[in-house]
Amino acid sequence: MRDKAIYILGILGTLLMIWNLHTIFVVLPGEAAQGQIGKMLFIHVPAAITAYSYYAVAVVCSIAFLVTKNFKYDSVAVSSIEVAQVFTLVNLVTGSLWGHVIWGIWWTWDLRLTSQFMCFMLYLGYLLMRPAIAEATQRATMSAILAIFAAADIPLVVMAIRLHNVRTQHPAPVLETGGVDATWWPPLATGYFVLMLIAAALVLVRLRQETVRREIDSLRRELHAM
Amino acid sequence: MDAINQTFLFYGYTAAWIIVLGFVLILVRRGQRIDRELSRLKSLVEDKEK
Repeated sequence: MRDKAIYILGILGTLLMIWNLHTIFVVLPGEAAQGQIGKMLFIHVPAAITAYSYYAVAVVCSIAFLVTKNFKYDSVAVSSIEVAQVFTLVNLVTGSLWGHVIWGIWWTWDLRLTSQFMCFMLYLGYLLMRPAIAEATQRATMSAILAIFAAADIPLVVMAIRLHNVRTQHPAPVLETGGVDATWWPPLATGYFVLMLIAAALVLVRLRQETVRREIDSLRRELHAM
Repeated sequence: MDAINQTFLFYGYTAAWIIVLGFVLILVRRGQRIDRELSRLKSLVEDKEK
C-alpha cells in the first residue's frame, strides 16, 4: 500500500512538474524589472514553503512523541526533517544564484538569509546528533526537544523582511502585497503542490527505512540476548 | 543581460533538481544497505535458533 502511494505521488508529481516547467519557461514572459531570472521565484518560494510545511509536521510529531513516547512519531519527525533539509538547500542555492544576477553577490549576512541559513544548520545539527546517541528513547527525546527548539528560528525567517526597523538585502514580501502578477499565481501554486507531492513520496520512502532500521535494532538486541 | 539571466535561471533549476535527485540516490543506496543488513541479521537469528 505504501509502495503504491510512493509511486502514485512520484509519478503525479513528475508529470505536474513537467507541465509546470513548460508553463514557466515557454508560456510566461519574463518579469518586468528582472527579466527571465525573476522566474527563479517559481522554485525558490515553493521550496521554502515546502520545507516549512515539513518542519511543521516534524514539530507536531516531536510534541506528540514527548507526550505519548510512541516511536512512530519520532520516525515521521526525522523523515520530515531530512526531506525539509533538501528543500531548504534548494531554497538557499536558488536564492544565491538569483542574488548573483540581481545583487551582483552570491551571499550577504542580512537577517533573512542568515536566519534561513541558521534554520538549515540547526536541523543539520539534529540529523548529525541522532547517530551519536545509542539509546533509542534518549535519542528520540533529545531529537524531539531539538526539533521544537530549532523551529523557533522559522518565525524569525518569515518576519525578517516584515520588520520595519530591520534593513535587509532580501526583497520585501511580494506574495501578500499584490506584487505578483495574476498570471504568475497558478504556476506558483502548482510549483508548491508539485514539491509537496515529491516531498511526501520522499518522506514515505524515508519512513520505510526508519521502520526497517527499528527492526534491525530489535534483531540486534535479540542476538545479544541469545 | 537577458542571456545571463536565462543561463542563471537554467543553473538554478538544474541545481534544484540535482539536489533532489542526489537525495533520491542517497535514499536508494541507504535502502539497499539496510535491506542487506536486515536479511543478514534475520539469517543470523535463524542460525542461532537452530
